[in-house]
Amino acid sequence: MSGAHHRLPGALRQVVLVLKKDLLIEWRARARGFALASFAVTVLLLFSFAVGPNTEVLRTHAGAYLWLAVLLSSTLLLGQSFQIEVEAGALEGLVLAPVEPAALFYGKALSNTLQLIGLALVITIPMLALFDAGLAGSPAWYLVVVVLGTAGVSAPGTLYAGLTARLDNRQLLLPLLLFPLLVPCLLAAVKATTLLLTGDAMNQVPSWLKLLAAFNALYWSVCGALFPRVIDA
Amino acid sequence: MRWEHGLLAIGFVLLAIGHGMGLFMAPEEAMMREAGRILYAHVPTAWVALVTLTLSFFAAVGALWTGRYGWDAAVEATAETGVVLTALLLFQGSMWAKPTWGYYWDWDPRLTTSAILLVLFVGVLVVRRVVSDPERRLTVTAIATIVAFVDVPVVYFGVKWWRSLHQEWSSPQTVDSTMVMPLRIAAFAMLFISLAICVIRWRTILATVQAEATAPDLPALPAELSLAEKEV
Amino acid sequence: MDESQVGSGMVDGAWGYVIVVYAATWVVVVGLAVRALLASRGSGPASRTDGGVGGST
Repeated sequence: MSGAHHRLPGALRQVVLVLKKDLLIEWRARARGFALASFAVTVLLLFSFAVGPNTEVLRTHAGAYLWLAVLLSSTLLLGQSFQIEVEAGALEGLVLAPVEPAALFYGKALSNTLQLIGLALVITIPMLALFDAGLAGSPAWYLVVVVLGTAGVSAPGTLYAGLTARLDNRQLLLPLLLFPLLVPCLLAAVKATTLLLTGDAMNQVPSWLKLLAAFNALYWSVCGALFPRVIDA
Repeated sequence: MRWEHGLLAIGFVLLAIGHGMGLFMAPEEAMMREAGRILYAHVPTAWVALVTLTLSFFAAVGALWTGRYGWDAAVEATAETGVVLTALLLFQGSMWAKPTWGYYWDWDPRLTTSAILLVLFVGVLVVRRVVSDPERRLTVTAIATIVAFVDVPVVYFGVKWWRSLHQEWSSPQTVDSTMVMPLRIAAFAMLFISLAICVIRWRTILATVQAEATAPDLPALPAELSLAEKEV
Repeated sequence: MDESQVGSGMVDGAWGYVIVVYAATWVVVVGLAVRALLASRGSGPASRTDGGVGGST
């Protein structure tokens, strides 16, 4: 196991170590993951109740409800990713350990992305069932949209979770700062998902994927560059 | 009397001239009739709001780079002024949209981007209020400002694609010199007023921040923190 | 307001909106300036140094 790690370059190895550490913590507390998934499904149910039993409307907006459920769950998930460490005083330990702050960011952001991908895929089944939606496009493209959409949430989300981790009112501040930022990401993810669910006659999905890719490229680089200052603060 | 007070006075005189010309001397716009006069107040506000928030981005980069409170105070002064101007901009925009389009709000890329910009920078100001330690506040504000500002082009193009059917309303071909003059005067007026207000606010905020930080004008390196505490 | 300028075109009666926009612009701009000036007076050089000494103890 450690033999494979030593072949990786130093920074990448640190990212993988942080990622494994975070995923291990989440796995040990997997009851929390269940709770988060049930919360997301509850949100989906709430949308059906708020809109009413109009199958046509629900089917057309299934993609929007899915991403809003992911977004609402993401603040709980992101907030937790630093909470454990701040409460246990482990963040100082990590900073003192010979881990690059940027590696800490990319490890945590990757861990959050993987968890959000899992969440999105898990609630896809109830989404398809509840809203009587079918997948018109290919599942592979759906997976690409899920990966890019959740990655777009988790890069600025991880940065802001770290930024607000030691502040009062962090439960309010994180969504206040994060949600307006995510507008282009949400817009593109919802549009692409809706097109994949209902059919993409004009072949518009690629242009939304391009926007998602641009959003990800921007925030995975900017947030990675800024994160060391977040940890110092 | 400082120089920014003079700038403020000049700005107000120019604004009165520009608005007066726009209201009473400029010819009526062919399509929008009197409603076209709103543009002499609206367009300069749009430019200046964007200029102010752009300045706060550069101030944030400066603050993060140098750790100096001068930059930090500039971030707050410009963000605060920019937020108020953006709110005014949205109000003017909806007052323009109602008689011309028939509704107060439209998901026009510029309108939508301005609204998101407003929410983003309100978030920056809110998070700034929450942090009491001056050094940490500098970092938190600067990072939130940079992260918010780099979103602006992505939001704009995203909304543009999202609303690709919508008409663009800027009409350079209908703008003749009698319309350019009041627009230009009002734009410089708003620029002078906003800059003057930013500078006045900057001095006040800087004084407050430096009073809060026990060691004035020290670079905000973590190592200096212990030094500052020893002085107490 | 200016009755002679009101034509019979499509966008009639827009003077109300025009006046509201100009009034709002002046209220906001003057309000910002007055607030900035009042606050700058409050933290003048004298009280600034007092605040600094008081804050450091």
